[in-house]
Amino acid sequence: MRAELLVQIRRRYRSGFEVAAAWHQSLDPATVTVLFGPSGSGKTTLLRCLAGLERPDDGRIVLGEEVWFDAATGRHLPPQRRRIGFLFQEYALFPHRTVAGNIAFGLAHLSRAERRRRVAELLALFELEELAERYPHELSGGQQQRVALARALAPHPRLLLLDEPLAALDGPTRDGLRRKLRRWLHTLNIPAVIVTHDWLEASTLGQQVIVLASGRVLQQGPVEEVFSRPASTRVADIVGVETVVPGEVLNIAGGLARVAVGSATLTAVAPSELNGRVYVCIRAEEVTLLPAPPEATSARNRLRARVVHVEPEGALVRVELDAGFPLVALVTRPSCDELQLAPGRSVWALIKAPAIHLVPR
Amino acid sequence: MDWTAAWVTLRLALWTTGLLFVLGLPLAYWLATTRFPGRGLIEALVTLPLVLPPTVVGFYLLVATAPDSPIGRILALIGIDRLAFTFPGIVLGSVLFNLPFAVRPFTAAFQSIDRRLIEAAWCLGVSRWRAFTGVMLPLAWPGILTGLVLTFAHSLGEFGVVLMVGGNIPGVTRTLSIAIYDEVQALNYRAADRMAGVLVGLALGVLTLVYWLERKGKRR
Repeated sequence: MRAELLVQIRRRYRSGFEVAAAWHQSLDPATVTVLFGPSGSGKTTLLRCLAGLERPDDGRIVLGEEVWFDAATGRHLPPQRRRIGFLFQEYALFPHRTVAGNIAFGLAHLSRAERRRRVAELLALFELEELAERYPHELSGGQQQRVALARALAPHPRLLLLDEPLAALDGPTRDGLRRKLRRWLHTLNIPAVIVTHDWLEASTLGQQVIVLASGRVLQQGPVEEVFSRPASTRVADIVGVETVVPGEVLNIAGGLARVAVGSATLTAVAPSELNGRVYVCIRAEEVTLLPAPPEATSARNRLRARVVHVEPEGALVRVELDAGFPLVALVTRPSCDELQLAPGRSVWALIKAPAIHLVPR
Repeated sequence: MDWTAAWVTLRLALWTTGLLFVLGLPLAYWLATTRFPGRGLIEALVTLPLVLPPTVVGFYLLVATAPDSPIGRILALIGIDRLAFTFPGIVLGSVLFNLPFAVRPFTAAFQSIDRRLIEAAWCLGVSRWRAFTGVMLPLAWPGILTGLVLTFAHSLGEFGVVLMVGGNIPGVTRTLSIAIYDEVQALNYRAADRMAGVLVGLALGVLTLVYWLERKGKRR
């Protein structure tokens, strides 16, 4: 049996808007594909087509040996028979059912005892035991998200579909749940397709990313490749993080991590879970360039860098540097002139520790 | 107090409410969830009795179910030789006339439910029927109850359709509102006053219940 999800679909709307994408991903070992793009790019439409909530106009969807959709034969399996877990953007919990009642809803086919056992299992996995008898409106956003995930996973789905799983949460909750979600996906070994517009979410959770804009695929491939080598300035714009390089955590002390990247060593704020190998992500706006080494500064990272390439981008200039690893900076035109930036010129790059994001790999 | 008329009235209201629950719920669900051309016409037909004089509804019902009409012949086949001046006749008239009072709140209740909740149920692998009984129905329940209570209250006071279709046969088609009319014609103001008072009290009680239910529904 070919353990693979094969997607090749096209969906046309009467307004003329059209969404099309094609990819395949391994089911065993389970992999995660991220549909990445701004709102209105059509990523949610693709997810709904996968769930069977919308019917594509063209193409095929095949999971393993089972054909879910085939335009040629007119086959369209309804969502009830696809055995999927769908996490809706604002979770769509049943307001009239308790946490336990929500999780049990998809388990009607089990005996009472089996159902109770499965619910208890999920309550434990998602640390919801205390909340079992609460109603959704009595829960925080993070708790609702966990309940929605538990409900989606309860009937043992073969594919998990997550629509902006963390977008409705506040910052600190989101950071915590992002790492947990990664761990859950990993330990449950469940293949997933995730829709998001947050690069941190995409790089934490996904192996493969598909960048969409206005219904079209702009670039697709392994996460680190797409994020570190955007195929066009449009993709770089959408992704919004220009530097993604592999690094190695040397040590962690006082909440700060020392990370070896290329021939340089950086200091970054350390997230709670790190296993040594990381991706180092830096947004170009966060890099400050100076002509000489600064005397006193709160910035933890001072790097000597050589300009490799300079490219005007509207009111800004995109500067590619070699700082012991490839680094991209974004400066204004006046400061570009002031610094006399040209290939070969040597400058100093300043990056504050909180501006360096470490993503486990 | 005309107790026979009160009993006919109560039976008529209960039959009307019960039938509209069974027939109106699927109709409302269909209107709330399906998009199709000509939907506006169906909605207009459902709402029509709200603006038409009851006598018009009664008149067409009489014509449509006359023994020599197509519907009359079908009715004769299943053993009903006529609807005019019978209790089933006034129930049918009352059901048609109360259609908007039941179907409109039902439809609104179904429409107010977040579509994603139904989709979430489908994605969990449950049947459409279970998604309906397990999610739609409990969430729409306050609105459905409002529709039923309104229908009940409205059919208690039914006059025009009942008079057109049922005439004024004591114990069969003579309802409270017709009895009141008779008493006033006979200048028995005291008897009319008692029965009218009962109807006012009932209507007030029922409407208070409706508003209470609506508030309860919103709190969730």
